[in-house]
Amino acid sequence: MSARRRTITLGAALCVVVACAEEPSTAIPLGGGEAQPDLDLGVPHLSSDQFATYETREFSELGAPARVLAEGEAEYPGQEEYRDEEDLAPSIWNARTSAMFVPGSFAVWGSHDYMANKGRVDVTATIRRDGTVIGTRLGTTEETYPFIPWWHTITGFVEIATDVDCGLAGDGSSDHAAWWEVAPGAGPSVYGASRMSTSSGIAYQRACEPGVIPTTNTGGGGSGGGGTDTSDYYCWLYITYDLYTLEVLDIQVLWCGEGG
Amino acid sequence: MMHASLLRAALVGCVALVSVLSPVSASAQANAANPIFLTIPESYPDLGARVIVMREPGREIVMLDPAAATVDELGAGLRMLAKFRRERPEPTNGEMIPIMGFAPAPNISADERARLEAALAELQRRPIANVGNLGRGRWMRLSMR
Repeated sequence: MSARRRTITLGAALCVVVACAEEPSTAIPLGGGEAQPDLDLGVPHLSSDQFATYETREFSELGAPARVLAEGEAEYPGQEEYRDEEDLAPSIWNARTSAMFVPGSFAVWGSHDYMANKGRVDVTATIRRDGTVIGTRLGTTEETYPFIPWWHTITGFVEIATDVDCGLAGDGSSDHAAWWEVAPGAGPSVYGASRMSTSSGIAYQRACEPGVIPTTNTGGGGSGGGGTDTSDYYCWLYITYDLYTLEVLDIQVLWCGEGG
Repeated sequence: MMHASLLRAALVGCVALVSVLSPVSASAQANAANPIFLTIPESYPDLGARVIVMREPGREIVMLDPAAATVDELGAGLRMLAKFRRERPEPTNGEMIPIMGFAPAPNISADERARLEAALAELQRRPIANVGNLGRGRWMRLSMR
């Protein structure tokens, strides 16, 4: 065989071998009794508290320092005249929770009017698919006013993003609170707290039609598109972190959509 | 000289043939070829997630809760991993996707369910080892066949 023919034959053989070679197996063989190696993995430290929103609003800083009475109870100048009056019993009224689907999200509002200088509303939004809870998000809003008998209105808001417009249901609930705090942030000077809870009704997206794929797509972290009446739906968070320091770089809000 | 040019031509032809025979494009293959690791750490992150998907450059991980490691959770994790592979580029940093809930259970064919059950059984047979900073747990590389 000539050198030229040998070269062509060798090249063709090499070519066939490379083209027909199987990709390597991805399974790691483990012989009997062989020790399992460690998995090199860094997972960022997170807690579910980090997925809830917490908003505080403070209005009109108190100008004069509180006067300490006893056992941590403080008194703000001018407070004496109100101290034993019934007006100071904190009260809540017009408490309500509203929930609705809007394009691109499920929104829940919790609000109440109150007579006190501290108000708080803890709002929970829950997404369901076929009656099963697939996602929940919490949000807290807290307000501080000067120690003056006056009424205020507080509103808290929680949102769950979604890119489907059929097949989901959702509801909301709120824990409403109001109380007097003589020197906010200065220790145990709290008295007379009122609390109550409210719930919204269940809000529904339209039913999905068999085989029809909705087209709502609001961008963001979702996939676009939507589901059919038999689609499996998911709620997830999307977190990015530094691979080396494990520092969390970003947490996207709870997103619910089709598995795809 | 003649031999060298012939060999070069053969290699060029070889490369062209390999490209033609390749079933998927190189870019898609790069993503799909990332190894997938399954793990059940003894200390599952307390995030309220049913299953956690993690993506890193060059590999992906599906982390199952030892208290609820079922085929449905594994199927849901792999379903979401496939979705993120399709819709997002290869990550350049760490991505963590806690799946907080899903319904109904992912629609898995009987063959696929049998394959996932076998993978889960194999994972649960693996000896205990260290799973990174989560401490002790079991892990394996998922066979793509």
